[in-house]
Amino acid sequence: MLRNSLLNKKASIGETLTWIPATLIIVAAMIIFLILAGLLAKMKIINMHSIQSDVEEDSPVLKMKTSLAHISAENKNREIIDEVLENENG
Amino acid sequence: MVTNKIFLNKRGGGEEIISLYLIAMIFVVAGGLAGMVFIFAGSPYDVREIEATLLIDKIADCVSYGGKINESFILNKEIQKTNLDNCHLNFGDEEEEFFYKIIFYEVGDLENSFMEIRGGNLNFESSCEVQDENEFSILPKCVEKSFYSLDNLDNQYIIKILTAVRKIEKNVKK
Repeated sequence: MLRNSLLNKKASIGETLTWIPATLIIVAAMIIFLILAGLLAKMKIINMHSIQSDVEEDSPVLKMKTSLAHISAENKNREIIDEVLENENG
Repeated sequence: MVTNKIFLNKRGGGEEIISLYLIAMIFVVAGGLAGMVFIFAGSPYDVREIEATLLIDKIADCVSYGGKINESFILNKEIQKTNLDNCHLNFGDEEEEFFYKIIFYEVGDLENSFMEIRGGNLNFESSCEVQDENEFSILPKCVEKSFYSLDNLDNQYIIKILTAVRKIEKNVKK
């Protein structure tokens, strides 16, 4: 009886064997995509550089102020000051 | 029970099972997609660095204009005031979410500050010191910038501005 029922379901066994790996692949893909979504969500940090890639990290407002001060100071110690500011602003 | 009936009464039981399986898979995939959208859309954009940078720009505009330090802060190399009351900074009801520190250094003496101005939530200063090496998203975001300016007597100063923005509830997923 059992043998007969097993013989009659050979096609079903074959199909099942096909679907099991397919299920595993789908579930694995879902898990990977969920993890990727989580990682992407953590990267939702906006800074000046990400808004405009052509803008330098340093604030252009401060650079302009420094340049105007250099002009007023008639380039006194300009190199030293620029070096100090570069170190400070990283 | 229903499943047993399908097995026993229907010759094409395999197809029925596959249909149930397909429906289950549709739910799995739909659930996965919904989960992905929920995870990504549920996480807010962290714009605190931009806020802190913009605050630096605003403070710098108040402290120095056209390369010269505002005379209401330093006049004839004398400290006039140590607050930003006249800068029209409007934090609304979120003043406790911000911190700023402005340090004036004379170019000849970069070790000792000439003048310091602090405001906002002063507790954030230590958070910024902690984050010198590594940043922590649950702590206030700190940005520090320096620029060069002159006073009315053309004395030279390096002005360092440190700002910190907390606003964790709006910018960081708990």
